[in-house]
Amino acid sequence: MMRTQVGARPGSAVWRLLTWPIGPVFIVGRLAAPAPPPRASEVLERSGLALETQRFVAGVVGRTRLWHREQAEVARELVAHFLDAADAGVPPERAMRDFGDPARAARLIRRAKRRARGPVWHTWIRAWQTVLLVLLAAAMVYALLVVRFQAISPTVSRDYVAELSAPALAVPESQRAWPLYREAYLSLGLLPKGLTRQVSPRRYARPGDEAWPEVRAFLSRHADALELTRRAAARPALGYAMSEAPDAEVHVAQMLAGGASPERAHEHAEHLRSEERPLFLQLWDTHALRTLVRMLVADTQEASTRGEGGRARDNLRALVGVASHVREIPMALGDQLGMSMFMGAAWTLGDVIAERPELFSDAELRELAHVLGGFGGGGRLRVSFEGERAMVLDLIQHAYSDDGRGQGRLTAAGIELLRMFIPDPEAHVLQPGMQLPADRLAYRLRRPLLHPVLSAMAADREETTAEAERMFSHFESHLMMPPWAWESQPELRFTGAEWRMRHPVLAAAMPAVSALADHGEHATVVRDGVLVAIALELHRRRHGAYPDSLEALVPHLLPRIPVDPFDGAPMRYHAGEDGRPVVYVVGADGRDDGGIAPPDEAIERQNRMFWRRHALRSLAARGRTPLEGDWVLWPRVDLN
Amino acid sequence: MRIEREMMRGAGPAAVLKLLESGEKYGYELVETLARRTDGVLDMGQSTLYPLLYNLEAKGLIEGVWRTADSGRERKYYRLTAQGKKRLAHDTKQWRALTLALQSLQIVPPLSGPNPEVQP
Repeated sequence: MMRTQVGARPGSAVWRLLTWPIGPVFIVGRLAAPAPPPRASEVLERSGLALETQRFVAGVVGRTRLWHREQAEVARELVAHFLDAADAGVPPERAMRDFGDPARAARLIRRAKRRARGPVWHTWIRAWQTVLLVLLAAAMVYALLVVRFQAISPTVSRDYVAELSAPALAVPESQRAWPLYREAYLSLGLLPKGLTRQVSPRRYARPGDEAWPEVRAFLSRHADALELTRRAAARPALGYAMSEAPDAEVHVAQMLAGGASPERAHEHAEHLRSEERPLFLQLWDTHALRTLVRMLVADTQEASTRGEGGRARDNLRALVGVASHVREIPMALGDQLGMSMFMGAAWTLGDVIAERPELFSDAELRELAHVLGGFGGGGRLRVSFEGERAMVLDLIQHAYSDDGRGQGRLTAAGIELLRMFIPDPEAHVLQPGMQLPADRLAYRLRRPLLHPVLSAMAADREETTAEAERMFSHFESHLMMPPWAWESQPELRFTGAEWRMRHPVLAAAMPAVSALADHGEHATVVRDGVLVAIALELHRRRHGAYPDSLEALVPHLLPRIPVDPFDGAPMRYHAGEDGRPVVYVVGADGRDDGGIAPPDEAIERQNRMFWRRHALRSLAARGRTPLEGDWVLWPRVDLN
Repeated sequence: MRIEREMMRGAGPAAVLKLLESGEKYGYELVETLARRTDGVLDMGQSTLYPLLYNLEAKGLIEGVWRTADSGRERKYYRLTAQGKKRLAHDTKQWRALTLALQSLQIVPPLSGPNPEVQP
């Protein structure tokens, strides 16, 4: 009683037991229950058997490894047996000998007593045996998978890097632009912040911005690099050959441009020299060309401010030249960046026409219109998937073994490669809104013990290759349709947990195809908007005012009215009550809002998407209002 | 003569059930009776008898009851259950049929009396 009171302090284990609803019931039950049966050892101690016989019985009972209650029962019976033998005048030694082998007796007794246990116990044992059997079977299967997984290695049969580099290497050195771009870039050193940080979501520093004086001084210091860039842009081909060894000097320049110390930059270069890069890991030097393009844009704005039309024109021509060169890089990224650079050139020209319409002569405007119109062969601009197809096929051959019939399996080396593609699941989007979640695939990629299972579940090399071809064919046929028809097409979901487990290589590495498709359409519509702006400006100069409708521009200033890619109708134009015209397209909401831009950049970005349902889904995920406003092409609206 | 284990496995339970038909018995008593009445042929060994009793008990053919004698000694007495009686009747038929078959093959010589059961 005392012990209970002392031990039952609030918070103590005893207190928790007493206050737990089952605790008191348990205790009362224990108090009310009859005394527990004696243990086998107690039975033997009280038996009156000779010590030797007691030990013998204890040996038999102990070996049965039965429950205590069962052991006590057996002990009682064996005690009675040996006492009966003694009563019959049998000496203890003989009684023990007559009894037989104690080990065998214990084994048989154990078996018989266990058989007598209740159905609940038997069910429990059967369940455990089943679980153990299943686990054993799973372990054996897993062991087989591990053996198979460890036995295979990737089989690389084609040198895609050499194949894709062949056209660039065929260009005579004197006609290659890349050596000049490279030379210009290597001469730059630390870049001003106005060229590395955007001042708004869509632009870098320009005249009037706080960062501009530093940019202007930089441009002045590097006039030679700009001239070199303009000369390079005039060359017929980029001539950039991919290589398995990265261009360490360019990477050093990139690090210096970002403000790294020379020691750190050279250390990084040494690290790069030791790397080998197959096609799918080619990180061609986008920073160099992107930097030179930003410099050209900034220099165009500076020239515009100074009234130097010739210099601005040369820069704009060079911008389109660089964009054309970049598209020669046989990867989707090249096409994408080329389109972006081209749009940058078109936007810059549109800005100049809106802000300083007198900067260019009629002839210069016509010339620039031809430069823009000739980009990519004119017409509807489309991205090419050829390089991307090669990249994915190259990744497959670096990830899969080959059994000689094209049916190899995903290897450990392949899974290591995939892990590099998964660091940021949101970076890999097949179509708008179809983002890679941190799902089972990502989970298994992060856990090496699951890699053999992942390899077993993944499709073989042949099926993966066929699926990649099917995807590219689908994307290409999709892009053949006009963009306003995309929305009505059924979604081919190259995603979903099962598909991703079956095709982990494709799930991890397929390009953001919709973004590629968008880039082609966006470049087309931005170009068309600026071509309309040039025609409007020429019309204003000729007639003293902007026209009431775009029909007035056709055919002398504009061969035809461009198409609004969101609904197939003619591009929209609004003469403006204040004499300021607006050229626009309706955007993903499909509604003509009279040339009013969306309230902010986030909505405008979604409003430029051609898959309306994905745009709406993406906005809804951010808790934003529905799509609204139009996409104003000219004059450009600077949204925040 | 000792019977081989495989044959004993079939004969042992029937023998124990038969011994219990005449009334309850405890372990040592069964051992002694078996050895005596079968002239040692079915002396299955004490280490085998108790597991055999536990098995029959688990199957519900016999039941054990602890009793304390006047001397203060306690023993576990086994007796046939209703199910055990049925089983004994069934086994008896089977053994008779087997014995007749063995007799016809002259493996077992014909017994003199009409009742092949061993008399006490």
